[in-house]
Amino acid sequence: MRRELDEDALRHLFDHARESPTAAEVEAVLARLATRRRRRPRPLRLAVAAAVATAAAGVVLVAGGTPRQSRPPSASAAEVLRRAASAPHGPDVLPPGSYAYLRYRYTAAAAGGAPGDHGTFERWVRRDGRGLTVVRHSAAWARAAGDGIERTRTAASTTPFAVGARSWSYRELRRLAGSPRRVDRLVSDAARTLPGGDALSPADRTAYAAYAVLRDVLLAPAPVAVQQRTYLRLVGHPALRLVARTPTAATVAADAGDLRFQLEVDAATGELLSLERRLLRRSRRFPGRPRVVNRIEVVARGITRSPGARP
Amino acid sequence: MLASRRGDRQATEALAARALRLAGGTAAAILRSRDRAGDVAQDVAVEVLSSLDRLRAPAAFDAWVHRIAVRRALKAAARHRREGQAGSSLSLLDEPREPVAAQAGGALAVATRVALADALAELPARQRAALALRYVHDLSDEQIAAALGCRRGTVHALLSRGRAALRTDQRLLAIVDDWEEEPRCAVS
Repeated sequence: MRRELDEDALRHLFDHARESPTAAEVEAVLARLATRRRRRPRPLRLAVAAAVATAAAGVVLVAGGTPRQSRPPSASAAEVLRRAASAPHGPDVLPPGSYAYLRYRYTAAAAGGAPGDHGTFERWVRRDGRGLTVVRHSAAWARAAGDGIERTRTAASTTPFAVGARSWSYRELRRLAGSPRRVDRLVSDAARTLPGGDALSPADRTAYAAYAVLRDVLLAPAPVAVQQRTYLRLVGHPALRLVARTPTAATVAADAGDLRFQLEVDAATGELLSLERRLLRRSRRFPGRPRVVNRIEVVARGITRSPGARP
Repeated sequence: MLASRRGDRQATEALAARALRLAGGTAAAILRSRDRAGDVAQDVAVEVLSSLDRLRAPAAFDAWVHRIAVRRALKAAARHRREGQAGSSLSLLDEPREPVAAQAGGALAVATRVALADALAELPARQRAALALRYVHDLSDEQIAAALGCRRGTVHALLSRGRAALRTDQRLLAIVDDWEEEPRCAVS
């Protein structure tokens, strides 16, 4: 006998599959609505859009069109990274008992039902991993989550610092700085073990891995030399180019498939100033509209004697 | 709705939640991906709330949301079809910002959602839309016709073809078998 669902069973199936919107989703709508209402009046907006389009067209003309994966890296972008990688920097040893301090501002786009967020991240961490992390979220996030400030005390550990595909002790991080080949291997390992990375070309995987390693190095009290060696891994990326340059900083971008990884470095010291990841276009692999997926802007770094104190 | 127009935050929140629920139910049936359905639901809620002034009859709010949700979700489905099957989600390359919220409703509800999404994915987009409006939102044939912008006869045809496909779907029959303890899950 052929089995069939009756009308009640069909209704019940849809009932079971029904979901209610979360408070975070509602907040995301209200936040977008507020942004929309704050926008300038339409005529002015059109004028601004026209001006931006003209400027963009100018940039494309100057740059000679959209970069392609097959094009060799722009000499100026590679030059910026090479110079940053060899820029002089002071001793960056974290004394025992002291805390490496980092403060950055972040923005993150809404993803997977979670609302977009922006705020400040602060971290104090000792060589053994003990320390404090304080994240101050946006007001919209705070309303959705019920708490706008997250304070997390971290415990001591033998390998407290995650960089690339594994965790390291402080001593191992310092040893990395002395060996460019080890940093190369670190980036290669991160590229090889990248989840979902099979669909990216080897060059794109390396670009993502270099971006991820830079982010991790920024969070861990790793010597600047590790960061500088990572820049050199990016130099060979075929889609690398210089997108902005000021007397004090330069911004370099690498396109990996539909994503763009962008980093801004201090022209004098080679230190990382900001990291940005952007979805360039509507994509088969990544849902959502083109947008900045996330951005980190370093505000302050230093060494303190106690967690909670700012240098 | 009037309170929301006056700037009452609570009323706006309630309307946003209602628009998200209505649009989310329709979009989830039309689009297989929860992420893309969430995107569409959010776009619909923003569009609806930002143009509330244009809605003269507050009683027509739901019908208005349904119409916009169907239009946007069908467009997204067409775009998705053009672009081919989606691969991994962006979250694979994302650093975990916050722990991902547990899926609501437990394992059976999740299994039901997956089975229903798989079964619906094999139907044409307009059949999916008609089924969602009937079974998720309990709309009448006239209301579905208004949301889809077609005649009642067309709705009748869409629903009967869609129902026929779902009734014999082995994945849905297997899910109903898992509900043995539930009295409403009759199988004829």
